[in-house]
Amino acid sequence: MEQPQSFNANPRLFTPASDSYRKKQKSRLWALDDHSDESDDEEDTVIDEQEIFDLLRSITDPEHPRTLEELNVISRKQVRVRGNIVDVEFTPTNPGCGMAHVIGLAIVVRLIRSLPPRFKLNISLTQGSHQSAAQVMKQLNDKERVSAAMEVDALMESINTCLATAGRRGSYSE
Amino acid sequence: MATHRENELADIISGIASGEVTLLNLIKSLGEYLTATEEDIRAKGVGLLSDVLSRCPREKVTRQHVNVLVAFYIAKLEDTDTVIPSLRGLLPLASFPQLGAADAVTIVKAIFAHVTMKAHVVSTRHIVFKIFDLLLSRYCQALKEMGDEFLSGYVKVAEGEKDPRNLLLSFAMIRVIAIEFDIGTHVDNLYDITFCYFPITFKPPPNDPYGISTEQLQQALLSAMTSTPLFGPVALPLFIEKLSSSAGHIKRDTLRTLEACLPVYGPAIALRHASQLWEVFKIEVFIPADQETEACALKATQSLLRTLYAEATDDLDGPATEICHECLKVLREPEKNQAQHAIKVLGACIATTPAIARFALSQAIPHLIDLFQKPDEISYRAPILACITGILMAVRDVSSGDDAQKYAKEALLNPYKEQLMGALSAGVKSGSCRRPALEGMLQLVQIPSLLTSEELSRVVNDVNELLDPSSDDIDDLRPNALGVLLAVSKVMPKLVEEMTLPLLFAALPDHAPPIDSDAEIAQYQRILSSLSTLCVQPALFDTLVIRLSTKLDLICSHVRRVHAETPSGNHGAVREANAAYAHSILTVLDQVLKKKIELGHVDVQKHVERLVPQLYALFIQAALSAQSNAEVAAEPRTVSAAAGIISSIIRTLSREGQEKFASTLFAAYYSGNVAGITDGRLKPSDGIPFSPFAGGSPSSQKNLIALFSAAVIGLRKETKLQLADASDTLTALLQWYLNDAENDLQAEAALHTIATLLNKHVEEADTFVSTHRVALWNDVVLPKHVSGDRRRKAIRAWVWVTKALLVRHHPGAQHCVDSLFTLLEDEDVNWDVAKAVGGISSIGEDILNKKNYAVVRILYAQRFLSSTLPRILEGYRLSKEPRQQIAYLAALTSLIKSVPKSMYSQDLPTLMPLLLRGLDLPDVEMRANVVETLISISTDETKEPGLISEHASTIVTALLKNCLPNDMSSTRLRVAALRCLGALPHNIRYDILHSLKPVVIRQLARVLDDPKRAVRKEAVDTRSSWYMFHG
Repeated sequence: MEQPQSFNANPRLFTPASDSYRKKQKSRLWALDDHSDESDDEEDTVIDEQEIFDLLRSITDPEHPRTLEELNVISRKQVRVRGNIVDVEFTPTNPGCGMAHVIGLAIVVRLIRSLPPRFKLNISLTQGSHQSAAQVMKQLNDKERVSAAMEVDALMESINTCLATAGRRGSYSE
Repeated sequence: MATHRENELADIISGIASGEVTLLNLIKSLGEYLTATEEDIRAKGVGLLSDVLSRCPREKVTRQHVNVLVAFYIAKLEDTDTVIPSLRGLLPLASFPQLGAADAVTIVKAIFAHVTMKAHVVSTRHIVFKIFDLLLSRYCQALKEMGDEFLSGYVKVAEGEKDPRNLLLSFAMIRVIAIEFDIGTHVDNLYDITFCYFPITFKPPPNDPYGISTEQLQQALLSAMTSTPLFGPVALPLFIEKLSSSAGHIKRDTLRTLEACLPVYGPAIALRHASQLWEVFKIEVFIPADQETEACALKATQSLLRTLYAEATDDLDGPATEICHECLKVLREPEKNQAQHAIKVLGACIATTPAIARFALSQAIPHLIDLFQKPDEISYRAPILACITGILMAVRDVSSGDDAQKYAKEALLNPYKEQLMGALSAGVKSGSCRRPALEGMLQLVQIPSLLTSEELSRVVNDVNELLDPSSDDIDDLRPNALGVLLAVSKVMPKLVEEMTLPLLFAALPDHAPPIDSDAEIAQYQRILSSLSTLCVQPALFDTLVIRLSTKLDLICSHVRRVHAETPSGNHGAVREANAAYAHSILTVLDQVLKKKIELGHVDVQKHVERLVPQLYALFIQAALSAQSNAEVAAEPRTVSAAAGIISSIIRTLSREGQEKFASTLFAAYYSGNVAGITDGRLKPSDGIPFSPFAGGSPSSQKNLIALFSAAVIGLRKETKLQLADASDTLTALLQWYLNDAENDLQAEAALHTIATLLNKHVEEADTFVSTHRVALWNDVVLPKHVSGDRRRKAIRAWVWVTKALLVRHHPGAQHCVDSLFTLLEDEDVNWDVAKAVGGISSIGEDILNKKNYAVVRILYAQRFLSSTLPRILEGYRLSKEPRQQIAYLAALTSLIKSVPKSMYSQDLPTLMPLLLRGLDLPDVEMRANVVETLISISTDETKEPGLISEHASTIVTALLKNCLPNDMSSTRLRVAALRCLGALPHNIRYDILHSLKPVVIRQLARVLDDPKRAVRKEAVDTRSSWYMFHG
């Protein structure tokens, strides 16, 4: 290891996806009428892939002041909802990345805090993206080990730092 | 004792002022005290003299007195017991005009010889600094002639000083000394008494009586440090050392200091340390700790380059070249994180001098263009374009520079224009490159005289392709594309008019697509919203008005034709679809007009002769038609869209213009003569007459009262109206409202007209105010036998009459409000009355405002609130019945919602318990009002500490209850409750809320599954705030 502090000093950046993939809801006939109250008109919706991706995209990488979306650690295609099961796949920036576990944990913690308890989480790493993928995956999907990790103050402190930006949901204009 | 002494002192001074006592007499009579052997008596004697001096009138002191006094005090400085009172005497002397330069030198020498600064307390040292400050500013030349003696003496005086007040003076004097004196051999000493304070770490203590801020001290020190280039050689190593060994604000302070010092210290010394400096700056710009430090480092880099290359020269050997090359090396991988920093550095270089800008561009742009064209870099084209755009932005933002270093932005980019256009144009055509390419084009267009008209038309051509209204793929990019076209339209409106608008107009259908064809409806809405962005410039707006009004005619005749072809068919859907289409078109016109008015465009006015008569013709014709179900323009929502346009235009007219217009308006509405208002488009009708106010008039005509009201609202107070009698007119309108108005459009139109006329012409409406108004109350609002609906309708009118009078502080307003309060106990209508109370105070948002020339006095809302609030509180307290209490509570919530918080913040402690009860009101809207009020209170807890804290657990419990979806809830209420809950951790201390944390987190888990997305989003954010909430 030549640079112990940094696992990938100059990662590739990706142009963030457009603000939202969500197509405008059914166009409204009297749409340009600005007197109408938008919020109460919204139809009932279910939690979908876009909504979950929005929860995750703006988490800050533990190493760089960049979001997981910008670093392509996670993309919308890597989120799937099947009934009450949520599958999330992520891709560490390099196969030796020692932060993979922290990134994964940040994702898990964010989802535990943000999704109704009826959902079951299923976290995975992109195939071939990491040298100890199996080990990391095992840790992340083991409920008890996750709750044990969440008891470690120092670890949670860095996770909370990563999550501090998560509320932006892909919007970069502060 | 003190006052006794004070009185004696005052006596002496008035004696001197009146000439009864002379200074010499005083000294003579003090004689034995001044030389007494007991030290405290000597000190008191000298002290008294000094006190007299500091307060006695200056003209009573002669030159001779001054000489004697100086000699006296100097002698007393040698006596350790009288040093302090002597200094107190020298201070006023130093400011006396009678003091000579020689005296000044004598004083300075004596202080150097006899005053040991370290032995004295702060206040005494302060006197010394003040004496020096006065003498230095008045006798600079004489002190300069003292040469080394002064310099070494002053250094000794200032050495080791720690008090911020004294340092402020010392820093200022060091600056004067460094600039004025020949400091040759004393640079190091002056450096020592200046730079040892860098960086300033002083923090003013709480309640600092002297009120010296860190910034003041920093600024004073900076002015000392930047006083002479001679500091350079010793200062720069210090700064470099500080930069590499510090972090946070010290680092930023150092960077800012360097930015200011380098230009003073000059190119020679800067060059000697240039590479060292760049090494430290580099870390901050390529691996920035935070944005603020990064910005400081970039500015320091700029300062370095400007210092080094201050002479306009093309010889950029050394740091400039080195920095650019370094950036270029990073730009070999434009897709990576570091590239963005390199672009920032290059941007900073570009803003230093034109020569450096030329060089940086000559390096960066060909390199990036080269990469863009390489086939194996094709997947990185988007980041490459983003880099190019970043550089163009820097060029655009460069200020045009001073005369010596004049920037010609277009000349800077001219050599690369072709290539840049090529790359951007290619970028616009391909997927992920579009956004950066559009941004790049926007920069090029905004650089004055860079692009020729052919090139601009190429831009328009490229961007036009993105406007394809049939596709929603690029909806996200549409604003960027329109942004480029809008920028072009500011330079060359013709291009957009001739190239873009025809495309858009051609794609706009002549009648609405079927009501259920979402895609096609979305398409025309996209076109219209593009038009609304683009057509702001006068030439473009003219085209827009012509094309869209033609379109409106086509839409109307289409629906008529459909009806005529199959008269028996049911064409409701066709009419609805087309009415909505017409509504969208009118809304666009309204939006653009509002934008133009905001920009102060004068071409709005002329539309009183174009668009306005067209609209009246269109709508009156529809209203007169025997077959109103074949008329698009008879639809109330469409009418209301046209009303907005008419208001906007009429408001901009002068008084004369308005009078001319108003006479045609009144002729049409009151006499049925529509020729004037439609500018001859409609002849006085021989079939059905236009008489919207007549009893039994069809609803389609009555709807057009909205177009009457829209115009009247915007009339100036001075505009003369041809009303026979204002009171009669108002009464007739009121009767019409009560008896004839059948829908909300008509009702609101009538009420707005009444309010605006009453407000502006109350002087001519005495009878209305004194008689008809009262009759409204006594005959319609009050009697229990009148139907509830009619009473409620009358209350609504009452509210508008009240508002109209209240905003102008008319005495009648008080009676209006008093009457309302008596009804709060009437169970049939008290709920409406409660809401009305809030309705009265929310005036600014509606039509009674300055924009509409209403007579509005300042503080009317404040006055209303301060008279109403105590009544509500009192009423609440006295009411026995829970139902009555609820009515008062409801009145309170609607009142508070409608006024700014600052107006009632001092009453909050009393209001709080009531507000909390308001969270249990049955009405969803009222609960939402309370919650929104709580949000604004809790985000401002600092002003009312403890107010929320005191009730924290009650508030949290009540809010949690209001977060859950059920029959008695609304999205607005749940979103507000969650926001309020989410604001608490940011504003209330942890120890107050921590016991509630588990409950909140547990309860919110249920809200995460809310059926509405907007609620879920708030729930996630709120829950996350509570998770992050730690002690």
